Amino acid sequence: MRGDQAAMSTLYDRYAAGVLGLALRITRERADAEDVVVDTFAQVWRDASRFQAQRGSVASWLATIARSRALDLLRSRGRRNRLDDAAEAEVSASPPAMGTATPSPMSALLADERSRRVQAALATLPAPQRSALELAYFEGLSQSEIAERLDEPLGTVKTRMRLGLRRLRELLAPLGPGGTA
Amino acid sequence: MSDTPIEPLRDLVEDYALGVLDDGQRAAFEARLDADADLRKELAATLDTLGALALSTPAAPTPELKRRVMTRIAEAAPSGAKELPFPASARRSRAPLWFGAALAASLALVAKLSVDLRDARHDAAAAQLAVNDGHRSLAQRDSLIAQLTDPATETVTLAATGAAKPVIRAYVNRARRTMMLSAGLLDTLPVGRAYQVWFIVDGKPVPSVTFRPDAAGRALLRELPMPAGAVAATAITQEPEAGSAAPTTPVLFVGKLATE
Repeated sequence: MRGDQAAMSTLYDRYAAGVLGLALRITRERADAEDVVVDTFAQVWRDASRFQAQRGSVASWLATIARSRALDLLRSRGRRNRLDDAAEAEVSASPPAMGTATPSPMSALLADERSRRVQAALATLPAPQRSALELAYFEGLSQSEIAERLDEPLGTVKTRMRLGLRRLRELLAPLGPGGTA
Repeated sequence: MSDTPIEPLRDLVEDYALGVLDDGQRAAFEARLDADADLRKELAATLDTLGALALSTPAAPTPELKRRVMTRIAEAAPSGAKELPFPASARRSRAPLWFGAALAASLALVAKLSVDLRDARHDAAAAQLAVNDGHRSLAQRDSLIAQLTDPATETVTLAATGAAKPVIRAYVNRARRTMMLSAGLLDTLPVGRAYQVWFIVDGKPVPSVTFRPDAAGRALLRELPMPAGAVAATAITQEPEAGSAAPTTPVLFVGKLATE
């Protein structure tokens, strides 16, 4: 059964800024990132019946779809490059969505709070753990590729990723599912 | 099967969530996942963490992007609305049922989103959020209270220019160059229309954000950045949802700020 466009509009208003930020971080191209956003919400519309609440929040489902779309786009164009510091800084500095992008001011307020807390939690991780996580999640590198990139033993990389993610989970637990307080 | 040495299943949760398992490991993990509720719970929590991380660097989408998304969806299912179990009029007037019925694609998704929306609607007024809402974190409430009670915060009541009864207050912090605005009893607006905030600088209106109130006519805008220059007043008009560069309708509310 098809979803409803009004509900989809609400879903978009709530999550579009986060999805666009994720897509920008991976693709580093605004046009590509916007294509990813369109494809992501189209897939959500098409596959809503496949959503399983017990397998994670709506936010994590959206993130999974958007990440996959963005990485696929990069791979199809053969440009899975190293993170560019300048580009990443530009994306990180993008202002939180306000106004027209988020009709509900409280949605913007809560999203802003969540972002701050997640970034603060991420900043507490040791740099090697953070790097390994970011290379895996935002660049889609395998553990072996990460080990090669960082010139570290594979086992060390695995341990860092697991410890880093577990620590993040502990720190973000008070935010609730999907990072919603 | 994978040639990778066997590792404790629990250790693979993070690897699976990150998508770094090889094909053999992934297949083995998924086979176990179906039969292990605890493992599913662990995975869900880990995916939620990654979801929060993934969406934590938001970027402002353009109004055009939403139009693209909605167009794509409309093209995919131009007659989708007729499949909903409730008529459109009932959905508009009964929010919880509207939401539960309207999404229709997945009961689980409906439940999740309903909670999300309900949360957002609870938070529509600063005082209520700060004092009454026990579901909010202390940090969030403290942040709002700090803004409201900051000695540097100037409180401005925006007077209605017409017969409208809404109560709108602005909390201006010139040191931080930010303004918080809370509103109640605002009229609901037709689709595509929104209220827009303006700052009056050197006699000219400088556009700020647009917003739509919740079903109860309430809205809270926090930390609106104030433009450079001497801001003499703040005002609100009704504009297209995408916002206007200059007011296109009469001012509905206006509040004069203390002289800088």
